[in-house]
Amino acid sequence: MAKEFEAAGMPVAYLTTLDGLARSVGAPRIVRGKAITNVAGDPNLRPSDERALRKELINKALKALTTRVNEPTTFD
Amino acid sequence: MSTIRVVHYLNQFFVGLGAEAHAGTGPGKKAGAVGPGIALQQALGEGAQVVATVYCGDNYANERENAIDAILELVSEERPDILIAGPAFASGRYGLVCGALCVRAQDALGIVAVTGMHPDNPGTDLYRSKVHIARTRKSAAGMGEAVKAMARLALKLYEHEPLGTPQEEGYISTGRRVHFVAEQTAARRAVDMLVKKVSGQAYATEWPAPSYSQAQPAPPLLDLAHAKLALVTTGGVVPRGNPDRLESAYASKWLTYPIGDLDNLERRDWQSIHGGFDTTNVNEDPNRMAPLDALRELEHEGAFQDLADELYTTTGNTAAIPTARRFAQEMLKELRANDVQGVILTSA
Repeated sequence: MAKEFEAAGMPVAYLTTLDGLARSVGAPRIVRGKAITNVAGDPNLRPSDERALRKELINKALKALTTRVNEPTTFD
Repeated sequence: MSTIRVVHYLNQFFVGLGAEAHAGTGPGKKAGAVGPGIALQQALGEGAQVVATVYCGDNYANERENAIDAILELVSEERPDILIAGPAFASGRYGLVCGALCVRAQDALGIVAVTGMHPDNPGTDLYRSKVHIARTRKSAAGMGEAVKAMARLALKLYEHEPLGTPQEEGYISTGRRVHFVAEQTAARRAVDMLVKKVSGQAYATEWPAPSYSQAQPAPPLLDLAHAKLALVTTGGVVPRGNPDRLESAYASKWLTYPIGDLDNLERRDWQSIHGGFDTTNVNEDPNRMAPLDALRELEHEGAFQDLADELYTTTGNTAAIPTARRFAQEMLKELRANDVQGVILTSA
């Protein structure tokens, strides 16, 4: 889906824990998530820390959307 | 033994009517073999005869509703035992017609149908699991070998002879698994393959890794502060109770839910029905899959202009690539209609 969006000119920040898989299938803008069962969170953190983590992940996603890429790129 | 009756399908170009300017030609028929059909007749030999050549323009066949029905009717009139369509090489429109026609001939007429395409032809993705497609070169330079492969496949299928592997028989893998007893154990074969590989000898993998086309990345957003974004997830996030019955695997649909008035996804209102991972953590806090709270915060801070009022959601679990592509294409129409310029896509 990420590739289909991108090929149509719509940039996509793809947040996934399986970033290696995303790279190998060719998704252009990848943000590595925390875990398969909680890609944008971490139940082991205090709520305020988890919120900060989530915000950090979205900030990476925004960085991805504003960055020119030529090949599958992971934004860490 | 009576002669096997073969109908050959060609597009307007190969039947000799002309190229693109004639792609709107409607369905028609000529007696006997025409154009590449002459080589096909030679390849079939004396036991089978090309009794008619049915043709249609590629645009007509793709654009008109019921075009395939009309073509099939012309085929059916000849009471054939076998339909051979193409080869279409890498020509997409031609390949789609050949594939569709062969499927209909198999299903509606109960006859053997074979076509030929280059693996890049989009018709292969759609039809290789339903029809035997001879693997051809990209262009008509490969006509000679293509008609031979199609003729051989068609006759074997007609005679109910067992087919060998796609490599042996020259067809595009149908995806069917066929059991056989190997002479050596898997361990032995793996070591043999590795030894060949490290010593630079030729070896053939038993299970080719899938290869994926590269997508041309979209240009970046230049003015994020004025951009509208949308949240899309394949994590199966739905309102609690799953009112629209989104599937937990093999999703047949994607859905949208209003989030314009929400600052986050409350656990009492939302859940994930994804069947491919333990959803406990997401159900405890659905923002862990669809991070609306953080997006809303950044929207309020002015990091970007606006978040779309709809959550776009489906289940990625066991999704087939063609289905996922279709979902994305359908979503794109709505995203564009809503002036969305960028997407945050989340999955497991």
